[in-house]
Amino acid sequence: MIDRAVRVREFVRDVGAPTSRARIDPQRVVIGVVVLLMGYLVIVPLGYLLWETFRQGDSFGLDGFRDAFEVTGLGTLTYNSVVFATGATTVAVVVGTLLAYLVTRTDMPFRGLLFAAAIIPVILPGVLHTIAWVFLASPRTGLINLALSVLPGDPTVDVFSMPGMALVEGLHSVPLALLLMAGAFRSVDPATEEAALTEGAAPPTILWRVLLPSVRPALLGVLLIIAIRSLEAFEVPALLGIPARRWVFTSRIWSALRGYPLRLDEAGALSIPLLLLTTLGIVWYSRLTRRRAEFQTITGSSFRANPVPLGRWRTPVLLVTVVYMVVAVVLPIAMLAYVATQPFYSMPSFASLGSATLENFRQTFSSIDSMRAIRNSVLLGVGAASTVAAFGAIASWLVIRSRLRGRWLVDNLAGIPLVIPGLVMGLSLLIVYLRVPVPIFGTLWILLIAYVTRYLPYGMRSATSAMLQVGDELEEAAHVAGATWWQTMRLVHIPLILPGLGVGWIYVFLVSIRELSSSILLYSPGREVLSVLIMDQWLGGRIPELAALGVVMVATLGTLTALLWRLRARAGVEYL
Amino acid sequence: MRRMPLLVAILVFSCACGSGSSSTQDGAAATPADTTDSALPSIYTALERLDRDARRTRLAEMAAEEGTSLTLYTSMNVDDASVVLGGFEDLYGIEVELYRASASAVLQRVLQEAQAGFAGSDVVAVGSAEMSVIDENGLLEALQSPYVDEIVRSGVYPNWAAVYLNVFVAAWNVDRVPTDAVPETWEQVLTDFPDRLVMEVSDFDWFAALVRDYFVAELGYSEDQAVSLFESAAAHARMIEGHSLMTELTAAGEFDMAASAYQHGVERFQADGAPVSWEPAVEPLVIRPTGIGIQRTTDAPATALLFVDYMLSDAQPILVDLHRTPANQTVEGGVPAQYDSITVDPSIVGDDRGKWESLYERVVSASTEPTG
Repeated sequence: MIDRAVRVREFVRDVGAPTSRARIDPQRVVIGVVVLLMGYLVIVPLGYLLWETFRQGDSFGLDGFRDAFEVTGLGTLTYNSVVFATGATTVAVVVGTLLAYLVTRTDMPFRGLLFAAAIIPVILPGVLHTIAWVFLASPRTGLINLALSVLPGDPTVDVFSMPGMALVEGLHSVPLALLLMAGAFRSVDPATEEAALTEGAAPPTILWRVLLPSVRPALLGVLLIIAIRSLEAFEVPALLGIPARRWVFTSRIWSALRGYPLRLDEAGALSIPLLLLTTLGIVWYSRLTRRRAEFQTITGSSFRANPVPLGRWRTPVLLVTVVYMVVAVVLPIAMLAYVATQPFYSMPSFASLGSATLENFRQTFSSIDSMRAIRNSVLLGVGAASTVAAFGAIASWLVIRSRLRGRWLVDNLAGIPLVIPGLVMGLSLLIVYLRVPVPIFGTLWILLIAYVTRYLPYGMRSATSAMLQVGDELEEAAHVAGATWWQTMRLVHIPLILPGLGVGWIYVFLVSIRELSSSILLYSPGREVLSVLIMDQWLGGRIPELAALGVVMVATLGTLTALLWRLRARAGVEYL
Repeated sequence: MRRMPLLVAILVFSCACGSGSSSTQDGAAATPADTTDSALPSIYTALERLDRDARRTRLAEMAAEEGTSLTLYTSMNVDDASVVLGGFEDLYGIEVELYRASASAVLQRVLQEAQAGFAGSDVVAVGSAEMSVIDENGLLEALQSPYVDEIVRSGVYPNWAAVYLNVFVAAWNVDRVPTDAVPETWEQVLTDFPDRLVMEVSDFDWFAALVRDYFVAELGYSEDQAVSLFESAAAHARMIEGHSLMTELTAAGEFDMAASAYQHGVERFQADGAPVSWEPAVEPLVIRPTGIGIQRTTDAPATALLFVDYMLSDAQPILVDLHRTPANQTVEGGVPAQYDSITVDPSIVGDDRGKWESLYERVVSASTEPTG
């Protein structure tokens, strides 16, 4: 570290010390610009949303609320939304935490391979994951139900039900829970664990009594993130909830935006309880983890612990894990691949395997729509990831390193999008750009704005984590050597946090490519993104084509992510 | 908490900006986008007194002068649309850019674009319910085409005309529904397939036509009785968005009975060997025209008119080949005329639309099962 500081000092001396102080403090300009931009991105859409919700012609009123809850009451919607989110969060956090424990702390065989396999669904867009589960667990034709039908008593798994919805949503969030909890477990000093082991404690006891208490803040954070993701989930409520008439806030908002006239006030009224629920979550979390340091528990130094021996449980645990992998990871992708080879959607049989064809793949590659959607998604993914990383770098510096007044505002503003569901963000931006004469409606820019705003907290988070790992002394050294603020930023700060930013970049790139809930309200013809195209193909009954597109997408994203992950590993960053 | 006032201030500020900039727009209904004076009336003048062949030649020349491609927003499925558009491209060498979505999505898109002053499409072709709304909002040019005289009377309006007729049918999976269990009446469709029936979430016009013109007018039900028949059916049915998806999942065996499939969709799956059928038909069939019209914002009016002429004439036999029912009465084919049918009345998608939409929303949303 000192060597680096010396090098920086020498470098600064070489390029010449600053000659005069700038008249306008660049730090203040930067903070001003960042606050204004963030305010524009975050607050303006919410302001418009509120205004549209309460507006009745030229005056204000509550008609939107009356209409919004006329068919399905506020109580039912809240109940359904909370039950759905609780179920999904429980599935994701329990499975994710157990898997994380097994792959980071025990001697289960094939840990690396299983870890990699378990995070594969992270590249599946929600819409594709949900459709794959329709193939697997629809009551009459789902593969799992066909397999179960040989059992006595005719047991059935029904994906079009509240437990089915919670399970599918939860399974889709398992990779995130796993990644975050694996990071948390790795950062726990193994000393206590080893002591417990010496005392003869069994692995479950160690997990429950030793590990979980020491990662409590991280666990609460994961609970919160996944609960919010589940509350704002759109794909599962739309594709599985509507057929079963299990309405939650998001599916109701979607429904309000489908009729004529466009019921913006009703959609706004439905958004407000949802925003309150997600905000309550954040308030609850910050009360539980008052001390700021605890927010960073999932980052920090890493320890290499001796694995806890599973003993006689080693084989059964491995078997259960493999069964989980097959059901949650292999089968959904395998079903997509199977359906992609069919002339029309039908269940696997000898006859259907005989009629397998690659025609759907040929169509995918020759279809202008598919190719355009891939291009749009990649463009937006790269654009959003890069913009968010840049914002994150500057904003996190302002919050952590600078002593400027007003930096709390940056921190608060960057956190707000966490509580704004994608559908609400889409709705808000739609309202803004239908009214403001800025010509971005009908372009990719409106989608970019939505993505950047939504994923700002992730960029901020990864930059903050990276920055906390870098000591102050390097910047101080640069300052002592006479470097200007900008030189310090460019030569010291950004290069040091680059690997951390890279992890955030990959994550934002992936979630941007998967994004549906904002895009579906904001895209325009010719500007479709992949998940919108898949949704449209589903609604249009083009199931084999969407499966083929899905397979192409999974293969491409999988390869890309693996490459990026390797690059990240080389850059020396161990985990998100 | 002491930071709250500032956030509130920003919020209020942004709201204030919102109200200031939107004085002329209304969120509930679109207003026509700013349009330059349309060239279409002068094109109509130039085409007056030309016979069909001469009109076609002249229009093709004018379209060539415009030199642009054409953008079509439609709810017709992509496979059929690409065949129909291919015919136009072959005839005139003009490329058609296609945006395909559900009719309600196309409607929202057109209204939003009008509100944002964004000229997205030249021609729009969706169901009569959506065409009426687009027309009510003043977004369509007057339509003058010699082929309009040949279109079924229920599908002719000043600014748009029917291009084909969507025929709603009850369709079933032939592997799951034995011949002796095939329904003969709509009552049987709605009552004999609990937990095996699928309904479409946005078919308020199909629902309204059956309630008003069949159950009430023909069978003597009260409106409440008819609506509650649908409500009890829906309480034990799955809801799906999209007719093609409904048919595909029925063909796959997920559902036994589809309440409102499109006849042409069922026949397409049949042709591919899927186990699905709609005949012997449950009568009356419900017919809803799909219309076509030219958007006021078009910058290629001659090309748009050439395309509409094509759709109302040359494309009609192509539509028959695609198992669809043509709107042009001079073209034979489509659903046999011997079946009893009801055409969705214009008042259902016009003045009474609000009533039927909210009734159907109640039908599809209400759950009789315990919450959760």
